[in-house]
Amino acid sequence: MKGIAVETTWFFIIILISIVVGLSIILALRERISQFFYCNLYLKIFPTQQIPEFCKSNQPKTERIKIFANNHLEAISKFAEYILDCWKLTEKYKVKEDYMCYELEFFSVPDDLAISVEDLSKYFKNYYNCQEIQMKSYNCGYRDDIIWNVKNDIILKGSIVLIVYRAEEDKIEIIS
Amino acid sequence: MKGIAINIVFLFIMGLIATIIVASIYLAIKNFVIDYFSEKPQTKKFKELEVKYLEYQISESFLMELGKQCARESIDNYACLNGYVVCYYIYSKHSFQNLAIPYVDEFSYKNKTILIDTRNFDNNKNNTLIVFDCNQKTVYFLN
Repeated sequence: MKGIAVETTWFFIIILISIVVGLSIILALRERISQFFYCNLYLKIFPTQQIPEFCKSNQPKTERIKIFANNHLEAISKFAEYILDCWKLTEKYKVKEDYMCYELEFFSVPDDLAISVEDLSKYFKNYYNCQEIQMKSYNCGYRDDIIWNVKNDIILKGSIVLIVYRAEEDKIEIIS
Repeated sequence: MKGIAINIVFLFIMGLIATIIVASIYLAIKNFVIDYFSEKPQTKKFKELEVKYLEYQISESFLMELGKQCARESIDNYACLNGYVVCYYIYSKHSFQNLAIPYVDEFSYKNKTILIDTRNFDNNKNNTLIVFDCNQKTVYFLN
């Protein structure tokens, strides 16, 4: 009788341990399991137009911003701050792949707006002393953190500018 | 003694498997219930088609980057379950004649090789659709 009681106790202890271990595994991998079973399998079998929130990426998302500025300096300042923000964001999240941080539209800005790469380097020199973003080719710091890939080299009113982090080069590319 | 050890291991594994199955079913049902009863906006899909009108001459890099972004966002958000995603409609004041877009290009994202196929891109026109085909893992420029 005593033997059976000891056996039953062991039985429960082992089952309990296995449940704890099993739950720990599930909890640790909960997000991936949900995504695998629900987002991958279920939605494939029953395709829906609506993608549930938890199936959407939880990494930072590309923001689409309209730039409003009363003058040239204000426009450059806003532009530069978004570049800086992208630089810090990708560092914070340790982004390992190319990532588009912002899509800026120079929406309501002076008609004669013309931002060049030199304007940007001057801003980083004057306001950040080339400590954060460096642009060696324009006498600002010791590295070239910016790749300027803008048609005709100038950003004009109405331009849409993409601020993209290039993981391989560890640089920010400005595309327009 | 050996028999007892085998029993213990057997019990442990069975308990583990049963727990994982039950918990997975619970999670799947829970997700289904959350999804079913959650308030759904009128607009569907993870991303509305974005229409961009451009007054100035754009660059090849700009269009190619939007193509890459279309693929990245579609993959990140499981939008690929729907087969293909129409991301952007670009139309410009100017034609795309100045654009020397590569015939076929490729890039890598999340260990997947994504192709950018511009064979159907007509640069005499001034508009294009940017579409990501999830099955082919290819971004198409259509006009």
